[in-house]
Amino acid sequence: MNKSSKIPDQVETITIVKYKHPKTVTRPVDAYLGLLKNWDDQELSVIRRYKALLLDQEDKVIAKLSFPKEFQFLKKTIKSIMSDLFYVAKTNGASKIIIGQNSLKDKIIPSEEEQRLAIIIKNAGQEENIPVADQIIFTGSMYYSFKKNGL
Amino acid sequence: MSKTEQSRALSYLELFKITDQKYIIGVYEGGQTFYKQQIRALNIFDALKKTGKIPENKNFRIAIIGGGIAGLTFAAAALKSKVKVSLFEKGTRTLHIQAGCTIRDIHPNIYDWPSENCGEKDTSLPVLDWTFGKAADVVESITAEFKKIVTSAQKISPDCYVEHLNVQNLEVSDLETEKKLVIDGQITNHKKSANIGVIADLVIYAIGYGLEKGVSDHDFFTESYWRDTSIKQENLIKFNYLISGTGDGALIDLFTLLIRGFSYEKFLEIVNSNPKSTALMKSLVKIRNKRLSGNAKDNLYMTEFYDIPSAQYEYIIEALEEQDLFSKMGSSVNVYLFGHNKKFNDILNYKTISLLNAFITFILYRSAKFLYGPKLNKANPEYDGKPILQPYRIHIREGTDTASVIMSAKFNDDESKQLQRIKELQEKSVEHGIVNTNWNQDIFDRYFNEIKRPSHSLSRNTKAICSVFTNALGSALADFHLSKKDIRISIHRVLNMNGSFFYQMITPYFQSEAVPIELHKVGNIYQLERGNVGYSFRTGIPLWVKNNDNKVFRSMMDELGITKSYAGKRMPKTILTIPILAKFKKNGSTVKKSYSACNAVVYLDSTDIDFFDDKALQNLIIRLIQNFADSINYMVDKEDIKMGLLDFAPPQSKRINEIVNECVIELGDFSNLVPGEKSSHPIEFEQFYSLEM
Repeated sequence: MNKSSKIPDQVETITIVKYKHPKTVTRPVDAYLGLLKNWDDQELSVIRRYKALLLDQEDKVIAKLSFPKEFQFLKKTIKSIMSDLFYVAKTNGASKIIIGQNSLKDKIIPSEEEQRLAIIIKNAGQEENIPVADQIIFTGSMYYSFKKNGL
Repeated sequence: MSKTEQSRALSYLELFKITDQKYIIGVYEGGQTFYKQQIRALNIFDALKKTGKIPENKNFRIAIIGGGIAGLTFAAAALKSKVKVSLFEKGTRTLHIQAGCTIRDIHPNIYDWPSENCGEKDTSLPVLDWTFGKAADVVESITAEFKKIVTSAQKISPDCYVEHLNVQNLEVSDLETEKKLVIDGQITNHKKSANIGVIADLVIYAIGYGLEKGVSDHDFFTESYWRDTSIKQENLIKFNYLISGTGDGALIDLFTLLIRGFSYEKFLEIVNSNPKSTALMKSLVKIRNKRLSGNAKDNLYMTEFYDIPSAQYEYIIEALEEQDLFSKMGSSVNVYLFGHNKKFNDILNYKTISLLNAFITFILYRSAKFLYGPKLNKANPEYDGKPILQPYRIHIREGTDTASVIMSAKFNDDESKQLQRIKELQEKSVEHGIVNTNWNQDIFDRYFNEIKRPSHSLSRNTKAICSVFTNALGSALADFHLSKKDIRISIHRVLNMNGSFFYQMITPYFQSEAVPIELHKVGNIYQLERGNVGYSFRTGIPLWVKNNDNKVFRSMMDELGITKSYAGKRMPKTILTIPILAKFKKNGSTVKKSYSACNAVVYLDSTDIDFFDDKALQNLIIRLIQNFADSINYMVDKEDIKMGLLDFAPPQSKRINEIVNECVIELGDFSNLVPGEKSSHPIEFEQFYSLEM
C-alpha cells in the first residue's frame, strides 16, 4: 500500500492483498468464497473480523482488505471506519466494494441492529461514490447476502 | 477394501445417483416404510464411504435436503463418522410428518411377513434404532438419540451440524471451480423471510415420498395417513365408507374399518394360533419366494391365493367371527374399495404391495366384508352402475404426491433425465435398495479417530493391520452397541527398540459412547512388565480379572504397575487381555511351534463387572480376534501387507496366580486359548510380525 502524509492513522492497520489474476464476482456466493479464502480456520468461529473486496468496473476483485480484529463495525465507529475504507478503495482504483464479516455462531441472518448498520454502510458508499455492492455475513459453510435479501 | 466390495458399492449407488455429488433417497423406491428408508440411508452412506465419494477430509460437508427419517438417519451416520452436515427441512421440526401421531403404529419388520424375523420389534440399527410403538413415541425416541449424537459431535467440531428449519425454494447449483455445491434457500420465521446460501461437497435429497395427493391442496376428502383420526373408529359403521386407492395406505384403512381394534400383531396371532397355519405358511413362503424372484406377473398374489386350498385359511375367518372382531355394519351400509383396475383380482400388484397386506385383503374379500369397484367418481359415487346413497364418507388414498416432491427440488433437464433412469432402475429392482444390513464400522465414531491418527506415528503396514482390526471389529461393535453396556477395546503390538522389547498401543480405545475417547494413548509405549497387556505379552496367556473385591483388585493393579494410570479416571471393573501368538524364528532356525511367543494383545475392559460373563459374548470376542488373525495371515500371504520377521525371546515370567490372589483371576471360556493346555486353541499368526517404527 502506498503511504502518504494524508493517510489517516488507522488505515495503516488495514492489510491489503492485491490480485494479479482477478476473478469476477457475479453472484453473492462468489463474493462469499472470495472473502472466506485464506481466512484463518482456527479464528473463523472465535474472532469476528471484517474484510472487504475491492472491485473494478467489470466486477473483478482487484484486492482484498482485512481489518484488524479490534475493529468493530458499531454505530459510533462506523463513520471513521468507512472513511478509511473508502480512502483505501479509492487509492487502489476500486469502483465498488463488498464488505464481509464472519459470524461466530450459526446465526447468519442479521439482527435488526445489523440491518440498520448495513443501511448506514450502503448510504455511506453512495455518498462517497463508491457503491457497496453487497454485504455478506458468513460462517465456514454458509452465508447471508444483503443484496440477495433486497438491500 | 476389496475391488469387489467397491464395485458392489458403486453399482448400489447407481440406484440413487443423480450426479457424482447428488444422490436421492426415497421418491422412487418400493417398500416405503420408515425402517426401510433408514436402511437405504445407511446403505447409501456406507457405499459413499466405501467408494471414496465421502473422503477422509475433516472439512467435507454434506447438505441433506429433508429432515424425515431418511435424512435424519443419513445425518446421524455422517455425524457419527465426523462428517459435517447441513440439514434443510421445510417443516417446523424434523420428522414432522409422524411427530405427535398416536393413531398409527410403526413396526420395523412386519412387512417382511412371512419371514421369521417379521415379529422382531427392534430395529437393531447402529444409529437411531428404535422399537415398535406409536409413531409419536418412535419419533421422540429417535429425536432424543439424534440430539445426543449432535451434542457429542459438536464437542469435537462445533460447526459439524447446522439445522435449517422452515426452508423453502431450495435451489442447488454447481460451483464448478471449487468442485462444491451451493444450496440457496429461503427461511421463513415469524412471517419474516431471509435468503441464505450454504456450501457443501455433496447433496443428499432425502425428500421422501411426500404427503397423499390432495393433502397439500386441502382437498376436502383427504387427510394425511398420519393425521386421519376419523378412520380409527371404534363404533359401528353408520356410513358408507368409500376408499379410493389400493396401495398399502388404502388397505390399512380398509383393515382398520373392517376389523375392530385392528393390529397386525393381533391378526398374526390369530393366524399362528391354529395348527393349520403350518401348511398355510408353507404356501405363503412359496408365494414370497416367487415375489422375490421378481419375474412374476403383476397379479401374482391373487392367482396364488386362489390356489391355496381354502381349508388352509378358513380358520382365520372363523376365528375373526368367533372373537367378534369384524366391525358391525349398520343396515344397508357398506365399505367400498375403489381402484384403477376393472377386476379386483388385478389390484394387488406384488411389486408395490406387501404380501401381508395382500393376504389380509384377500381374507376380508373372501369374507365378503367389502365391495370393490373400479374408479371412484367423487362427485357422484356409484357402484355397479347404481348411485351410492348418502350418508357416505370418502377417503382418498391414491398414493403420495411424488410429482410435487420432485418439482419442489427444482432439478435441471440433465438431472431430470437421470431421475428417469433412477426410476426405471428402481422399478426393475426387486430389493429396492434394501440389501446388506451389515454395515461396517464407518458409522461408528471410532472409525474417524482411527484414520485421523497422526500419520507419522505408525507405518503403512501397521495402519493396514489397524484397518483390518477395525473392519473385524465393525460387526462385533454393533453387537456390543446393542448390549448398551460400556466397553473399550484396543490392540497392542510388541516392539524391538535397540534390543529391548516393549509393547505399544496401536489403535485408540474403540468404545461405547459413554466414555470419552483417549486418542492420545495411541502410540504410547510401555514396558513388558507393566499391566495386564504386559502380562499377556510375557506369558502368552489370556488374563481376565474382575474387580470383585476392590482391595484385591487394587493389589493386583499395584503388582501390574498400573494403579497410578487409573488414579482419578474411569476405573474398569473387569479387564480381559487376549494374546495372539506367533511361531517365532530364532537365529535363523526352522520354525517350530514350540517357539511360539506373543505377537499382539487385544485389550478389552468394561465398567460393567459382568460384561464378559456372557458366553455368547465370550465366543463373539474370540471369533472376532480369530477373524482378525486369519485376515492378517491372508493379507500377508497375498502380499497386501509386508511384515519383517523378528527374533523375539519372551522374557521369563511368573504365572499371574503366583503374583496375586487367585480369586480375581478367571479364565472361563478363554482358558481354551492358553497354549500347551489340553484341547487348547490359541489364536496364532502364521509368523512373527515385526512392525518397524
